[in-house]
Amino acid sequence: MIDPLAAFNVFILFYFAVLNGTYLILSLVAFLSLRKYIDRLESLQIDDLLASSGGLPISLIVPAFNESATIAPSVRSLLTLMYADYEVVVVNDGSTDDTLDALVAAFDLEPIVRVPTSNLPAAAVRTIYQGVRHSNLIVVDKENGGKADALNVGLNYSRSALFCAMDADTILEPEALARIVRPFLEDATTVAVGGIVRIANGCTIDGGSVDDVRLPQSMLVRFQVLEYLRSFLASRVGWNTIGATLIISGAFGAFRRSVVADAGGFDTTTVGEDMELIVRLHRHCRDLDRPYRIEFIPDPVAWTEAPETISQLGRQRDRWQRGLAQVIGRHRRMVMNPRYGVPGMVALPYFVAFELLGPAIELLGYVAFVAAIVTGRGSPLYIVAFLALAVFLGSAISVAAVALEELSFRRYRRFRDLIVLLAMALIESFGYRQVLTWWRLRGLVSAARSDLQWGAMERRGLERVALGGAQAPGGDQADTASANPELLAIGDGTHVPSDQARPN
Amino acid sequence: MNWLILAVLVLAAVNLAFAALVVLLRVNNARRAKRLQARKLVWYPRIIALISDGSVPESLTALVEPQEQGDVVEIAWDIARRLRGTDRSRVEEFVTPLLQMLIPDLKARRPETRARALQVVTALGGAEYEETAVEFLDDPSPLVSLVAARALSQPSHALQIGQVLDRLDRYERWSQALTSSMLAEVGMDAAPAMRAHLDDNDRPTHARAAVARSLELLRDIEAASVAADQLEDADAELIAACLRLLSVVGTEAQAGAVRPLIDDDRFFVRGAAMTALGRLGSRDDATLIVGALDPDSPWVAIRATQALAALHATADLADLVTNGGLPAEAAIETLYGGAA
Repeated sequence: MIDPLAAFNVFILFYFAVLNGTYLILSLVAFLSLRKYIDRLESLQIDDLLASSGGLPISLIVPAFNESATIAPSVRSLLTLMYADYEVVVVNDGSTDDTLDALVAAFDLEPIVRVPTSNLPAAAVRTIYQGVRHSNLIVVDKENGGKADALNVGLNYSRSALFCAMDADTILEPEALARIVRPFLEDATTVAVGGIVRIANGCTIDGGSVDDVRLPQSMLVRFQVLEYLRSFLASRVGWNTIGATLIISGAFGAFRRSVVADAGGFDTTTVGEDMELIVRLHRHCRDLDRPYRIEFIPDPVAWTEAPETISQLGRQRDRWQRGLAQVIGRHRRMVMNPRYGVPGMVALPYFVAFELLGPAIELLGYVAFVAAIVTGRGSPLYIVAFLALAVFLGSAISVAAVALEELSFRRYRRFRDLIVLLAMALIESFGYRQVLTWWRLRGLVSAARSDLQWGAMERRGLERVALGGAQAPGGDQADTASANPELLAIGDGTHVPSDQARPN
Repeated sequence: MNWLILAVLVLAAVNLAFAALVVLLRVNNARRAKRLQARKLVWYPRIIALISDGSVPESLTALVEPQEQGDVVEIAWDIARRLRGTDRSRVEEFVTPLLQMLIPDLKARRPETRARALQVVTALGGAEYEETAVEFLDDPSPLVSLVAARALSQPSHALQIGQVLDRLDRYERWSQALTSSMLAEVGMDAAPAMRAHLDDNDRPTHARAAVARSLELLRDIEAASVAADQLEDADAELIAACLRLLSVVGTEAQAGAVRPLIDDDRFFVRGAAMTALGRLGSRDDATLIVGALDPDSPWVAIRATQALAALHATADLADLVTNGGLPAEAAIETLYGGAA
């Protein structure tokens, strides 16, 4: 008779082999793709290209909820981007603090009448303001409705063919807009482009821009830095190469306005509105047999603040998992449906097997591993194989991600930071991944119970991510976290973020 | 069992080897950056001096050691990109003999390598590499073809603009903004060829629409009559582009061709026609515009009220305000610059 534990252990070994094997292949694909991409950028001379084309007009839509501490410097920073023709549309989503007052005072706003150019359903708009000194700054004050609702309002009142959805405390590099617009210029069928999101904790931030890139002091945030590298440079680049980008971060993504409006805008009933929109755009365009491209490119950079405490991180991952479950549940018709091409036949099934169900299977695998050792029923062969597939192969993927960063963008210039990242890659499989798996499992359980609550997140504010990562005086601002599951699977299937804040 | 232990050991070793590789990469990158920086410190002042002191470029070229040619070309290109006229010519004169080193790259298998080499030789080699750029317009790689087209879309290559126009169908997927602004870079010398292209019904309509936009950017007055002739075409994209061109360079003479289009079924054609009529029409056209105002289309309402403002039809705008609805909001936005 077959020992159930032994049978399960074999299944787990197979599972980890496929999971980590997939990521190793994605890393390899990403390596080839990144090399090609960087050469392509050099041959195009992006600055000259954009200078000659004049770019395309774009609206930056910035939802804000209780961001009074940081909104003025954030918006000021957005108004200094290196781009010829853009407007900033800040949507105050019914803040209960003085976010609106801060904006009015800082930018000398005055009420205006502005005709909405689409009519996506959303909470009521109270007043629209325009900057007296910055006529390209529009502030829409509305009733609270959540991030997706605020984005829909921003879309209704934006006037450009393209729009960029971002978070209020995300810092864009000065040339980020120019870079993210390039795919729209090169291919008129492009409907959405995602840029890379990097962690700003520990960096020197001055006047709303990241001056000196450093690793943070906190081990927890360092692990997240590594996750971001793995997720963006390996996973997303890899998926993008085969035309299966399913996630564009809610913290930084550009879209063709007309297509998003036609598809119904952002979904206000999920905590994963960014992934939901991308999956829906695939579905929408394929249902209409419309040629389209959805791209992830790694050179436009946005910086964001990562959770610094275990509890914040746990809530964030819990929320992402719920978002993922909602998105997959809503678009289950696409899974293994040839009509939806590579996204439907490859990416979504992968997300179901390794991202959605992954936490449950992995955690059971860890439990079975311990049980096998404790009860003496685990053969040495199994123990060694488990270590090889679940631990060392996982670490190899993380080290490969650091290698991809070094081969491509080399943002962490200090030699010490590089060594620390490598050390993180080697040790993260011993504890950190397992804890993440546990949080994701909680999210999965919540999703099964249709729990739509949002976790609270305490934010320090990037303006106060001072030199060397020290926090400047002024006290923390309590805030709450919004959706944006940045499901960036890799190795262990962990998800990486763009996490921004506010309650629903 | 032994092989499994071996596998674990190999994986652990692979991890460490990967890590070591990353460190080596960093060391190598740092060394290269240091070398380039050292060469910049030497060559930037030399090239800047060449521009300012009137010395002979060839004598400076002779100072370039074979092993530093690649870096010097990069440095020269970096400087040349910011220059125009004789200053740029002097840098080009200095660097042209060094460009021979890039000729093998033009035959490379990787399109990125060909594109990069083509960009440098055409940017710094001037007329000497014009024929090369024309040849590469037909390169199988769209990237290389794009680089060639951009290289030829310069005032100094105006005589070759026909070659680029003949291949616009290759660039169907580019955004119109990219194609049109690239063509406009050539300047007014290219306008006659572009007008002929716009007027040629055998050309693809997306290419003609992009050319119309280029002529708009160039503000080519002579293109107005050509644009008006295209307004009966079936392609909405071309009609809208020609209407936009007319709204910039047209005269009263073309208003008659524009008027019927303010009732077009396609909202973006209606909107463009409103704008053009606001620019070309007379005060009497205000009534037509108000009559055609679509209360359900915000884009058309905005264009219509802006056209009324251009025709100084403030009374009509004031009437719209009192009627309420979307046209009223558009009228307020137009009349008062949006002030509530």
